[in-house]
Amino acid sequence: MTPLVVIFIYVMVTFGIGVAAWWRGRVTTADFYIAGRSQGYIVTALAIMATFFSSFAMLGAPGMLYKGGIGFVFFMLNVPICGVLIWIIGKPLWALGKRFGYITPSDLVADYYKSESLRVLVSLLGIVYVIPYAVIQFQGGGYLFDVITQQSDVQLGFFHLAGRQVTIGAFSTSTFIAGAVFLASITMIYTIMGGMRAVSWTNVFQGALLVIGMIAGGLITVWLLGGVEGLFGKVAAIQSETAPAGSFITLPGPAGMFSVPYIFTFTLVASFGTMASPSQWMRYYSAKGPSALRRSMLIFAIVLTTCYLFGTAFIGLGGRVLFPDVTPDTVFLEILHQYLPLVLASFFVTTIMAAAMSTANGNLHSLAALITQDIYVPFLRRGASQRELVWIARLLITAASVLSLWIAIQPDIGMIVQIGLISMAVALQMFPSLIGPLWWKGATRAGTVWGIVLGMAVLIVTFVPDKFGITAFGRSPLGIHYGFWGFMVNLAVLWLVSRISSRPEEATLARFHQE
Amino acid sequence: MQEMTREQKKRLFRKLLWLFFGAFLMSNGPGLYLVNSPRLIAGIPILYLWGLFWAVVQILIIVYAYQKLWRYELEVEITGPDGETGVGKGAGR
Repeated sequence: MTPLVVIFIYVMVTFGIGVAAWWRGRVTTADFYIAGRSQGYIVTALAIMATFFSSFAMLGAPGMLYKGGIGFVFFMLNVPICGVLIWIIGKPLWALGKRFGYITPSDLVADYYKSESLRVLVSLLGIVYVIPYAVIQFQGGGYLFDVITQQSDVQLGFFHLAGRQVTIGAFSTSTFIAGAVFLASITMIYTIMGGMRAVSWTNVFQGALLVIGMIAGGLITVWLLGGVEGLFGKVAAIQSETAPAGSFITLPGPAGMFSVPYIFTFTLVASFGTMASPSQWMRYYSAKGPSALRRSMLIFAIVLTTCYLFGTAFIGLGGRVLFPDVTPDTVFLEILHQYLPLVLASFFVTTIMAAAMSTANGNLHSLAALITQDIYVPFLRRGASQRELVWIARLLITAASVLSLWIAIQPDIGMIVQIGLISMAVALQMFPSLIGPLWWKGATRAGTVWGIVLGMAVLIVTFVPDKFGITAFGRSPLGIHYGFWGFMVNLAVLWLVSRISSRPEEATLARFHQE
Repeated sequence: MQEMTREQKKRLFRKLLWLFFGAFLMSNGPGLYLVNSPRLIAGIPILYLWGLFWAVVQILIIVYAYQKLWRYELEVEITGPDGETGVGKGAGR
């Protein structure tokens, strides 16, 4: 019963914040999508952090360390790069967003290149990014309930919860599905109500919780294994038939997952992809001013790197020693479940929920913006009222939540990090569309369009070569991450085609590239 | 302390960018080949210490850039299409 009470308290607090945000908001698209560009540095920093840290970081990253060893520690060094990007791309995007009233990433790209097809293309990339990312959050919710309800035995009228089964009257389902549905429903409801303001305000609460959860989780694991030396000594000694002793603390790791080229490229894919994703992009727009972004950069780089290196790394590697044979993505949950008093374990579970919900809400919210602002208004109902658009966004958040949930509860869809990396690789394809508006006057519309089209084609082929009858190489040829192949091709095509096609009009260049 | 000119700031920015990239090559690129062994130093794997060290270097570069280049950057007032102005607080010295 205890876990459910603690989770109930957490959900009620989150919900209360969502309702307060709804109360403060206005029914306008600018308010619903970017909170009227009014957010200070604490809200901006914690919202960016909470959107960044998700089931991916709390469950997926320990899972990768558990399976692949120390190599995944280097993936975590994408965080300082992300910090720099908050300022390097966030500041100019904020300024352009403010000056020209942009709401979505596509608004900016379409305005610069005067291209509605580019608007749709960038929107589609954003939509393709959002769905898998929402899926892994709901998947995390499922794992969470699956593990924590093992000791519960609740009988409330028609509601029965024990033995990994939920029964309501004649209806019965697994706790995994019940957990995923629960997390998705709560997230969906408060996002629908309060828009960006609700997303950001709840993210402040959730961001603080998840930082506590990660650091404390790492310290508890170290303590359980007799200190840092004890932890690493035991990790170094792990061996099996296929993995000799020491393989967990060297590259490419026991499963051969982490070669140096792979580490190098997937770190870049993750950092540039995540920070160019629609949900983060809209957070830059919603900041009150550059100083909010500047301070966010600093807080992000220092706090999150600390969380990863002293939290996640210890949880994943230590978890391998404590539980040699569990589902990798559930290792943190197993530590909490087996070694902590129930009340404390339940509190930590809420920190994982916070991570999952804070990312899911940001992404669902940005997906609604992409469809309403970039497809519904320009192509279906140009004269739609503000109120109508907000309601369309709410319907879309509902539909996207249901779709993501449906995918999340399918069996064997893959590890959390693997799905997350697909999302990041797709978002990275958006990054070159920024080069023209922000830095290079020579970038052209044709170059950007063909860069994205061919970049995506290469990404797909290098992701699933067997589906195209290609046997000369497997996924990620030469050990280079498939997302990086797509990105390199995108950049090369952008450069080549831009040299033989016409630049944006001089007036546009002058508007965007003011010194 | 004397305020840096725009040119000086640009030069410093480029230097720091190259330094950051160099640190990244060491932490996540070819630099890893230098330390890829199961050795433990004070009970901690050398690879973990290597990652930790370069993470600290990268963060120090960010903090230095923040202090020298960005912290006191003047923020121009921007007027949006709706007539509202947007400006960051803490304008230049």
